[in-house]
Amino acid sequence: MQKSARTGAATNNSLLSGGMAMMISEVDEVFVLWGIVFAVFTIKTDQEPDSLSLLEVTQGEITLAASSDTWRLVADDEDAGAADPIALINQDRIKPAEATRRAYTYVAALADPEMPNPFSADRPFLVSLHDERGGVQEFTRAATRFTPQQLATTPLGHAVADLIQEVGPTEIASALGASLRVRAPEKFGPFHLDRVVAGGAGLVVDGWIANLGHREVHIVPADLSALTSYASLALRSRQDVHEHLQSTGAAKSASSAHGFVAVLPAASAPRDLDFYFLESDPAGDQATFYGPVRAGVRRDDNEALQVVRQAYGDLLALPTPVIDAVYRPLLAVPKNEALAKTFRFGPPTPEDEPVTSIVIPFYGDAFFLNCVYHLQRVLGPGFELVLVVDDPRIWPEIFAALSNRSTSITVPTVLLQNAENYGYGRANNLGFMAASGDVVFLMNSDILVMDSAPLEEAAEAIRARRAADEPELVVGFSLLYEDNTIQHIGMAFPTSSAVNNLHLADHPMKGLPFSLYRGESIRSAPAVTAALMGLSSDLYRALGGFDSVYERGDFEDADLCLRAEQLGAEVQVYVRSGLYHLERQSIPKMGDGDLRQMVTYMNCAEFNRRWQTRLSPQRAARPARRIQVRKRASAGA
Amino acid sequence: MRIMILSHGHPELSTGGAERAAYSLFQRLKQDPAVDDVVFVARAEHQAIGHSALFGSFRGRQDEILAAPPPVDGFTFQSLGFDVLKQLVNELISAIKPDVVHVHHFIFWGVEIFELFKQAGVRVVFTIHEFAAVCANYGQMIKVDGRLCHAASPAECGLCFPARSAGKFFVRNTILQSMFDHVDAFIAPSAFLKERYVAWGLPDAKTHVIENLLDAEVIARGRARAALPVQEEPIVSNDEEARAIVFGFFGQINPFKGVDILLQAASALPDTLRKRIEIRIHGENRHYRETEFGKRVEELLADTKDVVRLMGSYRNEEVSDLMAACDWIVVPSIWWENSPVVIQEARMAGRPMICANIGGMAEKIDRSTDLLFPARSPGALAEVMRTVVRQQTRPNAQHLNDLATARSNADDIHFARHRTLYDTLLLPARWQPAAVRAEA
Repeated sequence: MQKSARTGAATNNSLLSGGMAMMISEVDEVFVLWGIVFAVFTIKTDQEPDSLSLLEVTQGEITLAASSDTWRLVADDEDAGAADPIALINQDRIKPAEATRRAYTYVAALADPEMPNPFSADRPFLVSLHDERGGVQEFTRAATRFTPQQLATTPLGHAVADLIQEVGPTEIASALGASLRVRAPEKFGPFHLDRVVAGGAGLVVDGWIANLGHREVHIVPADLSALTSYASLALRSRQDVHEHLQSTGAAKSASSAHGFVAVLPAASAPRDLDFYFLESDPAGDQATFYGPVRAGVRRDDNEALQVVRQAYGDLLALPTPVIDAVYRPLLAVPKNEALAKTFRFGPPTPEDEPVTSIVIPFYGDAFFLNCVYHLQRVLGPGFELVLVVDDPRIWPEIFAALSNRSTSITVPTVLLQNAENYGYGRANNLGFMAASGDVVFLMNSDILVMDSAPLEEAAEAIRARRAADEPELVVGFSLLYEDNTIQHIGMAFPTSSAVNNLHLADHPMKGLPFSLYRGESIRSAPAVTAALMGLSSDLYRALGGFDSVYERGDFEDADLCLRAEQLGAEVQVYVRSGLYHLERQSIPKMGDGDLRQMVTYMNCAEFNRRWQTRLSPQRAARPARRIQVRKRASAGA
Repeated sequence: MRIMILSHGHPELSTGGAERAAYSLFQRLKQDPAVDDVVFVARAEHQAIGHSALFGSFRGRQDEILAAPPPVDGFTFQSLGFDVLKQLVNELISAIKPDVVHVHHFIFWGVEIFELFKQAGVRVVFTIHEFAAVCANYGQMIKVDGRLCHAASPAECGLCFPARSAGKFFVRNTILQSMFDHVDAFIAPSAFLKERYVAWGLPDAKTHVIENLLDAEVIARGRARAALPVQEEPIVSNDEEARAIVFGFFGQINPFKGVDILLQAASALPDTLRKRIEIRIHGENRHYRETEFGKRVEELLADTKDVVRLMGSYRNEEVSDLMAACDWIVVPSIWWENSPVVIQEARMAGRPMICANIGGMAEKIDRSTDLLFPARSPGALAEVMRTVVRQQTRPNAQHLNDLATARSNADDIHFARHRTLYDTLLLPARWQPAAVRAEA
């Protein structure tokens, strides 16, 4: 707060020096509801506050803006209205000398329809107020909570609800309706939660609500971060509940559709779930929050998936929106803020010459640290290693192993200890942030480099392209299995009946003897594997690294290459010997293979949706086939 | 010339052929006037050192150093405490200043010792004693299901160890071979061992076949016995009370040495024959008593107690006399073996042998006196024993004596070849033979 106040004051001065009328601005709070950022700010001035034109909210590399014509005025009382809680906060800060000025409190809503949840409520926001003359005031604010009570009863809440109707997703806008109220859960009627199971980055709620088949009930977490709409609930027949309700006279019809399964996204697995039932009346003009209700949460990834599969049906049979709403939260890795500790080994990274950084994430098996030992032996100068341990289970082993052979480490090495498992894409992105090279190689831990010459050659080619201002280069490599057969010589995207005729990221010639390859020594390919991939740091940065929409290490490299191509880069495969990818035959554990397959299919579907025109231009020219969604109102599937 | 012999154990602390071979070489080098200094460095448990330092001396002997390096990864043989190992090796180098280090095993030390010595400018000789680098199954080249293994490949090794992927075996090979690149000369005590290692990836030209040296005491006793006049016993005797034919087994009672094959063969012999033989088992069952193998041996011993005598363990200097008291020495190992010291000792003791027909055993026997049987076949061994007893087969005593003398003389040749190898490695590069120069 103090830090941002200082920033604000500094820019304020510049405003004042412009000879303008006296005006002081203050950002009161920032909160996030259903992915929409709301910024509440007060302008005190002796004139009309029309000199401000734009409000921007920034977090990380994402900035959203709202121009002044979209702002809502909350309160413009001379003493900032005693009944308004926002104004009360302001009162503390208002100095007596300024009390004669008028205070205008506005709320601005910022949302990106392309990106449903761009911001994290756990990290601070930078709020910038721009005036018409180019002056900027900046404030740093942590997100505050905003309750259904506030939403239903305060003037700010009304303004927020109005804004949601304007900019929010239709689903939420229509659920909230024209007027809102909050009631205690007892008023909601009989209901029961049988279980709340956490899986992946989601929560599965399994329970019943009396007469649910005839009511429109949504489920909303108490922090208003999400809304599981009535339409996305899987309704189920519950004869036992029906008999019970009949015996107490609570059953309102012959329908036994009281049971439901709902999936809620949850960034971290909470111990308890606090939520509201949000019931819309049939006319759509009154919506009631019943709650808060608290339920204990148990973590069991497999059970969560099982419940969903029983209630909604198999992943491959569902249309993409349902997959996204129901399966994605459970198959996703929780996307908390990524944190890593840094350790350094070996000599310092040279600062006066170009450095090539090799980013190697570790997950599951510390054995392949042996490949890093070997890399130390074959790499010449000009390299830096960034080892990202994306698995707290193997951290002690890796740290001890490196510490005990610190004198054998001759290549500058950065070791990152991730606080949790963030998944392949994010681990690489973290590693990239710790890398200092102008060229970066992404390398799987099970890559064994017998000869570093191809890496040096590729790094030089990438630099030469930049020096000559030619298109950027993404370099992949021929990779071999231990029996000198091909693991990778570039990707292709054929369709496969195994994934509903979607396009796969395929490795042609996989498993065939390397000596059978008769092609060019540098070949072009639509994409290359990130098991070993080189590109300039600027390009990786411009791409924003791997897209974490792809879960658990699948398709993100193909996606990265296609995005690089969009930016004008060229993708090449260097066919060289001496590079091995010791990918093991996967041995599916019980339940594990299923999960893996589901994740692959989900990623595949996302990849195909995103790159439909690129993958099959002729097909995309035809209108997309509509998929009929079967109603599940009386399901017991 | 200053030489360091590096062993994975001291023969007085752990009995094994490799330790004894290393120590015998050390003893011979000590007597060589051209060698300025030779030090024997053996890895030992820290307890055996007896004080807090990581180095100590064996029985206070100033040229027999014990060292306790950090533990070693059981799969890749890399040190789990490389920094400490490096410090130990560098201390040894700066204290002893060897021109040549002759490594007799890297296990328990860590395979990085080759690199560390080479980087310090020391010439590195490495005697290979089994297939540890080729095979993760205790270096035996026996598949985990018991079958003999003829060649290693990552995929096939992965079949023996399903928990480890083929890729991991590839990494293992790569690491070991890259460490072996620092070795100036390899010594394989048998041509068979060399052949297997060359197939695995060792450079042919750098790998020399030289037999291990034998213990000075064994040589001395062998020479003394060979000098005695030959006494021919009557070849045929119908006397029921005639002395039984004694078959001797010398070695550890473990699944690899095949004592159970010998016992099965004995139990398969008819009673009439069993009355005319005696089987002496010299050796200890230290580690396998509680295993399935141990139980099987116990049962077989119960079946054959009329012919088998358990002689217990023996000291190395006694082996000559104990062998001389036998008619035949049986070497029924079910693994390939390298160059079994038992065969050398039996030769020195002037005894004929019955050996399994594979690997180092088949290579090291003398076909004029010794007999082979198909490895792992108790029936075949029984047949050989039956023939020996029925036909009163007995090689000519004078011939055996001559072979013993030749073998004791050969020890000088083996030693000279070691010395020549050291000398060659220490020649200026341009004078070295191409094979040595190529990698230098």
